[in-house]
Amino acid sequence: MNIRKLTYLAMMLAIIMVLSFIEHTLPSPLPIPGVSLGLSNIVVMYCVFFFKPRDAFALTILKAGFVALIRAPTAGLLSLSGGLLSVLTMAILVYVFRGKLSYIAGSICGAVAHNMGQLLAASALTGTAMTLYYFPVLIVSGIIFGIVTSLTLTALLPVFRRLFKEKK
Amino acid sequence: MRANRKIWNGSDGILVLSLLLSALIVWLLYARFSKSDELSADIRLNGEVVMTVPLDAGKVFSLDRLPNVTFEVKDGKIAFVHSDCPDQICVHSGFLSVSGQTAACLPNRVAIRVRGKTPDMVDAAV
Repeated sequence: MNIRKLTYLAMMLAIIMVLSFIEHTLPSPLPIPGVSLGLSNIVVMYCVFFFKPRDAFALTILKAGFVALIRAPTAGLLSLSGGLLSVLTMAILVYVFRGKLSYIAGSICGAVAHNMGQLLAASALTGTAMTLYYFPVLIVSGIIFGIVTSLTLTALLPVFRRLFKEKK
Repeated sequence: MRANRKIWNGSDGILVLSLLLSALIVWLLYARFSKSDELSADIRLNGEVVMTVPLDAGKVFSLDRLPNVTFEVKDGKIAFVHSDCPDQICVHSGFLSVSGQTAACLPNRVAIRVRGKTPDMVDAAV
């Protein structure tokens, strides 16, 4: 890994940490464990689309560590479960559909997978199956959050390009 | 570098519609199979059932092992009414009154699940 890439990933992680901290200070959008807006997913999604999936996995694991530190180990575990499932889903979609995958489709699937992963971890931690009951809510909120984050990402792309791609 | 990636593809409508359809199917199945006879609620702490409360008598109580969380049962419903956790997701979940409905307080590792007298289909599934 060269220094340029290392710097890029470190900057992305810094942005992720700030966004995830801001998100945790906001009230939860829905009273369901693990359902969140996913502000920091904007950066993770950018990483999946423009860098290698394994870089996005690394960012996800580091982000979960950060969440565990500032919140609680359980919150870190939820973040890890949701994050890994989300990156895995988006990475598979990018691999299968390549350039034909739209930002919105990738983002919606990523958001649904993210909240599903968090809820699966919450179910495992409490020994209470919650995924099926909340499934319809997860889908609808995933579609809405996915559209919001993908539109934000496309609006921010010029900024990201300047930050991360000024010269090749 | 895939700079020509589209924001929205024509086929994305199919994706959104099929996701919504699957949500609708699960919701309808839930509505069809949920029971309303003699409801009770399982309270689980760290994954094991520590208490089963019938939802017919009203009361406010806490678990001995978890005095900082308060539950309330009234009129066939149960809710977290107080918790010392930071996010208050459990309290905001409100009253649960349908079998299969759940609410959880992750920081305290405690969850409620409403069920009918007989096990329902949803208990078997994840």
